[in-house]
Amino acid sequence: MKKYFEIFINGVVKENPTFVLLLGMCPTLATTTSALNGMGMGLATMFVLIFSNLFISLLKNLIPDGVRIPCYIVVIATFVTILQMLMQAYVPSLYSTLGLFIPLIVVNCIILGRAEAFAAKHNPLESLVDGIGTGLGFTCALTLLGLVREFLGKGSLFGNVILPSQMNILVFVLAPGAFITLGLLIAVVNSVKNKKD
Amino acid sequence: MKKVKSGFWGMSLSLTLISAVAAVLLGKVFGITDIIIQDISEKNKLSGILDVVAPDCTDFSAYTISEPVNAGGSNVYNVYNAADSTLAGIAVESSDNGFGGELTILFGFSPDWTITGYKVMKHSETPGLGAQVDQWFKSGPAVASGTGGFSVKRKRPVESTLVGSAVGGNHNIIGANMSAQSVSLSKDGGTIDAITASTITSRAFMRTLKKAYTAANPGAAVDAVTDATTSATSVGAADASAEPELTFVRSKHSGKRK
Repeated sequence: MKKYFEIFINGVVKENPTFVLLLGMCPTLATTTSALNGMGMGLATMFVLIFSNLFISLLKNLIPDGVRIPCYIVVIATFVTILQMLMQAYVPSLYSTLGLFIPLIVVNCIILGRAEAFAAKHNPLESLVDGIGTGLGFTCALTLLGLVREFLGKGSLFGNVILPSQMNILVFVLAPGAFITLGLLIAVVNSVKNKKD
Repeated sequence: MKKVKSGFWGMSLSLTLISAVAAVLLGKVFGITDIIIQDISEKNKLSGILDVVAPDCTDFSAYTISEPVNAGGSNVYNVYNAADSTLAGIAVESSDNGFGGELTILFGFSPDWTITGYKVMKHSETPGLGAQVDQWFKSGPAVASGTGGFSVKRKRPVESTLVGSAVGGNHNIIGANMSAQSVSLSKDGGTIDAITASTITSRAFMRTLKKAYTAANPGAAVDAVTDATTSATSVGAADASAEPELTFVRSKHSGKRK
């Protein structure tokens, strides 16, 4: 039991894909214009990560090393397409905001990275836990990033307006704001971690 | 189970098998979701059309909508009162190039060519700037003041000059009559304020509006289309610095980051 907890915590904190490994920067910077968008993207990635980790781990003996990357991509792309169709049918508003970034989950390096580095070497249950942990870490990071950017840029939290529009700093919703916010958040996370050690 | 070897047969068989299972799975999910997706997009279109033609309408069955007629790249829908089959309004879906890509807008006109509403169907404008196009031209005090154009040119209230603010200003086109007055931006000699720091998006909006009107009402097109359409395209390029461009420059040393 302790082992699974460690794998889980490892994904969320110690090897947080966004703040520590700096993986998947493209969707991270592009979709976190608001907390809700960031969370939606995080959850979508988590869904794909859990299933791809589980199935790649289950299929690892069936997949010869020579064609492992194409096989992983087929598995990942299948789940991404399923997710895309489900989102389009059941949460069309979120689908229209995330749009292009859903199909791009296929080439998200977090997912392929976890498949190659973890799922291909561990048993299905461990891989499943790793998928949940890493996915949750990614979701938390994206939500946090979106929260800060939305508050500074639009003066609202999860769509609830708090500050009047005169106090908005628009640059935080645009691309440069994403880089600034991400840099500051990584600094905060690092300083907290250094204090702990 | 022993690991499959990387020989020709092992590799081909396993990849084929995985792809075949994936295809079957996708087919099943597609079968379930496709009906719902079709239904949603159909409903969105219908409620969108009635939204722009009859904004206060709550009973969708009071209207019938004709099949779209394609005119000059725009889709024209005639909306009839279900009770007596008289024309209730016209909805036109047209598109033009905005700042970040195609801007598709559904406009609603009453039978006498008063703008009853609009809905942005698809856009890729800058968030926080051009993306305000979905609210900008229908918020604030109405600019329409009878016939003969908008004679009163107000001094802009302070708040309308602040980015992100959609209050005040002279930019609500709902109620303006396309056949009676010329509708164009103040930068192009008209009276309507463009979205702050988003001139290109605003011009694209006006071009789309004119396209929609000329598609639906080809006879009266001459009075409504002002020279703003031509000047917009020529000024547009020089004005590109007005909006920040979203360009990602990828470093050579990005390593395995993406």
